[in-house]
Amino acid sequence: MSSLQPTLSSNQAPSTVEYGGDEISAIVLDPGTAWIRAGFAGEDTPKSVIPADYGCIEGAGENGGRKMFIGDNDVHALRPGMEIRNPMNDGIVADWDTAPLLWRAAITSRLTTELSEHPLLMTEPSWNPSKNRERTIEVVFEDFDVPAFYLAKTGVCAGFASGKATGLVIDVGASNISITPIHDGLVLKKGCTRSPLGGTFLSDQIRAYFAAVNIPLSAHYQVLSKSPVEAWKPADAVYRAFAPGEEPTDSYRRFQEDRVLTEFKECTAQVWTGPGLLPSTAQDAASAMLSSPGGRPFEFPDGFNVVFNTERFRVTEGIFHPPSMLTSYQHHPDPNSTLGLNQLIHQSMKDVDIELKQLILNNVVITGAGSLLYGFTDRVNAEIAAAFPGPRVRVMAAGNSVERRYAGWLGGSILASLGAFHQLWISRKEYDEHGPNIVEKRCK
Amino acid sequence: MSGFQDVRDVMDISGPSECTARAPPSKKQKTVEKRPDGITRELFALLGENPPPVAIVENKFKEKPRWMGKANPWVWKDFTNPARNDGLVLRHWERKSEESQALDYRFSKFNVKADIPSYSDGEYEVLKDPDWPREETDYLFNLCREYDLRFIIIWDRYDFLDGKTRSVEDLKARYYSVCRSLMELRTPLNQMSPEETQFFGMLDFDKERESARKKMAAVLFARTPAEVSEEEMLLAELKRIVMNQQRTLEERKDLFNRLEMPNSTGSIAPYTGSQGLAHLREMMVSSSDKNKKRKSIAMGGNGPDGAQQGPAVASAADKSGNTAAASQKEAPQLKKQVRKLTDDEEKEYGVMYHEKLSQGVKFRSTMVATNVKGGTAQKVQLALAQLEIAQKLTMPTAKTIKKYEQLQSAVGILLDTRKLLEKVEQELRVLKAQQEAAKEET
Repeated sequence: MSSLQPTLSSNQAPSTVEYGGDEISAIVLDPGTAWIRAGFAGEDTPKSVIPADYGCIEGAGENGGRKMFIGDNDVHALRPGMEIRNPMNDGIVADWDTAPLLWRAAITSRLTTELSEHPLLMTEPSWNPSKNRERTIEVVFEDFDVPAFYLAKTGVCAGFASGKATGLVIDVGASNISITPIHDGLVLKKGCTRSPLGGTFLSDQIRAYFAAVNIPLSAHYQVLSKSPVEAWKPADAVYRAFAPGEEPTDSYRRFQEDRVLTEFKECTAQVWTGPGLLPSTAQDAASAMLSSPGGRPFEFPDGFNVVFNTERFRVTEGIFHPPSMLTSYQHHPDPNSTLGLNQLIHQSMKDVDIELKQLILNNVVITGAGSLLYGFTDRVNAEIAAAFPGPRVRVMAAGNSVERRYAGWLGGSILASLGAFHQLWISRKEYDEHGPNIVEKRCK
Repeated sequence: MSGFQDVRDVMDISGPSECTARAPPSKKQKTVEKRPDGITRELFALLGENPPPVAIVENKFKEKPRWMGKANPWVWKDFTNPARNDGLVLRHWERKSEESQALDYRFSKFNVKADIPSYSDGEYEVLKDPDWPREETDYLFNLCREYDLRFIIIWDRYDFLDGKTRSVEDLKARYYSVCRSLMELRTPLNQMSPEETQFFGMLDFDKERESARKKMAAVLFARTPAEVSEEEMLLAELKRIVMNQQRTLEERKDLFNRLEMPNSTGSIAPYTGSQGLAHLREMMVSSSDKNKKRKSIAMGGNGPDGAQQGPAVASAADKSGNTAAASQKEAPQLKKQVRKLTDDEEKEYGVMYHEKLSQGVKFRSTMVATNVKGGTAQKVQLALAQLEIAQKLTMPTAKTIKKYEQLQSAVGILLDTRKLLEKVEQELRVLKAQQEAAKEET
């Protein structure tokens, strides 16, 4: 006779020791610069992910107002005169007229239309000023009319997603790379650092590189049909023609080009894993890379294709070594004063109490879609190990790309589904009594 | 069964009576076999009596769970958390049967707060510290309450209006000193229960020591790779040395054991000549026969135990009277062979004669004669230890031993004298006191 494992019967609840969850169907909203993620607490992936970029046509809406296009389907559609805009700046909300609309759209499009029935947990970056926080709680209670609200730090949530209450969270987002040391689920404010070297920066670098070597960048919407060509040969494609006045706007073209650049980042760009910095001249780099596999081809939407060798390392090197970034475009970060990733880590660790340093370096969590660059974790591991040779350094990066991209949301989902967390919600009653300033007192 | 039927079919035998008649024995056999499902009969037969050496995988589906009773419905239910004071109503799924006992929210037990003391204005008079204004102390205590004594976080968030920059140790020192004074103020130290006293002792925060410790930790943290590897090397070296030391100690112990073995004191001189060897042989051969042996040893006077007489312990038998007698016989002959040494030569070669020696090999250091006897001996040892003179000499040559013995006796005499002196002085004092008393009386 085979002895069956005693399975938990549906009649008995799991013991509280094993299971601390108590789901109250809260909604978790993680608004970022590139994507807005929303879903029910207790789930492992956000149900609704919409781009933070939105399209708008001035004067096309009701009463001559602007007409907005939100969500993946709408924002990519080809419309004459549609501008693409983003309400975020430096990771925090800059346009308070639009951001709440996007948040609402993210929730109502797929989750629920009854916002007043679900407590809402939102995430914020550690550098969010208190003015913005108060504005957020105002919007949430006045506009969304939620029953309860909480504002959690992205860094802390990302730590929770990896099961860490203490550690160093390296978040490579679209607008910033931010380093957040956390201890007992609280952010160590003195150690928070960031640099504008995130995904947007990387896209700009690649764009600048393409411009420098005369690689024509095309977007998918421009191409009607294409036929294969040899590498470096001009594209043989039929392009879409636009009648005068019907052309898409520059911002739309740029937005669509960015999608191609994202594809390039995903499948061609690579991080130099060392040892040391990427050799400065192409020749040195080529000789250093003799052992590594050869080039990687990339085909643009119009069929133009190139095999990238050392260049695919060079475009990412600016993240670790800002002086080697390309500066041939406007609004680039200052190569000399911007801190590279390793300097950021160093800066961040400087103000951490010595007793925590060891523990924190043993729990380094890498998150954010930008960290999915090929070789990124290896490089970070090597940089930290070189900077702190004494203590044992352990870098944790979720192997699952979904978990890596949505770590902030996932942590929020875990937090909001815990039974012990429910005493922390800011209720409507409390908000009415104390005003928006309560967020400073409660969400530390 | 099918095989049985097949055979019957092949042989064209029919009739249920025979079949049933045959059935019982086969059935019996089957109950003995108990063949599992996943194995063919032929294979099972090969296994014989022994249980199969490997687990047999059974191709069976998981058993259907047997639910106890009816399924219990869940309800979407309002609940309040007693840990909150605003009466926020949230909703969750709950078992219908648990409805009655759901009065107390089960997660509210996790709402644990650190116990931070608070002080009144009067009490603060005692807690005053010139370095800490009242407002800042209040601020610190509020932060402690807010962050449940996570001092690292408190330090991180510490932002008192134009206050001094303070280290984690400063904050801890202030907090603990206030707690300590407050505790002492409320219950005097001598009225505290043992637990309270223990807690009181725990509140003693040594800022200097803590800062020094952190500094050391920082140094340790900032080691370069070279230093780390050097340290690792040194640790390995240390381990090696310790292991070697252990081995040396063991070897030394072994050596001591060997040296302390009971040894023969008789000389081997009787066996040096061919005559002696022949005698030895005879002795060994004869040892097999008890009677013979008795005879052979009879001439040597008192005989040794029979057990000692085995051929293997022939050398041990040397100390028996038999050989002693032999050595006595040959003694004058030996003395002729020994050259007489002059005093100078004796000194040069380190030859010396001892008056009384006990058996066995010994270290000279263990042979220091104690000239002082009785209670003084211990006192002498004590005095020497106070003077930091080793109990055992590191280089115990004959000369040093002699000196050491002299020293011991000198110390002994001095100690005796002192004792005597003290005794006399004491007596003197007593007598003087008596005398004075007598004077006063008169």
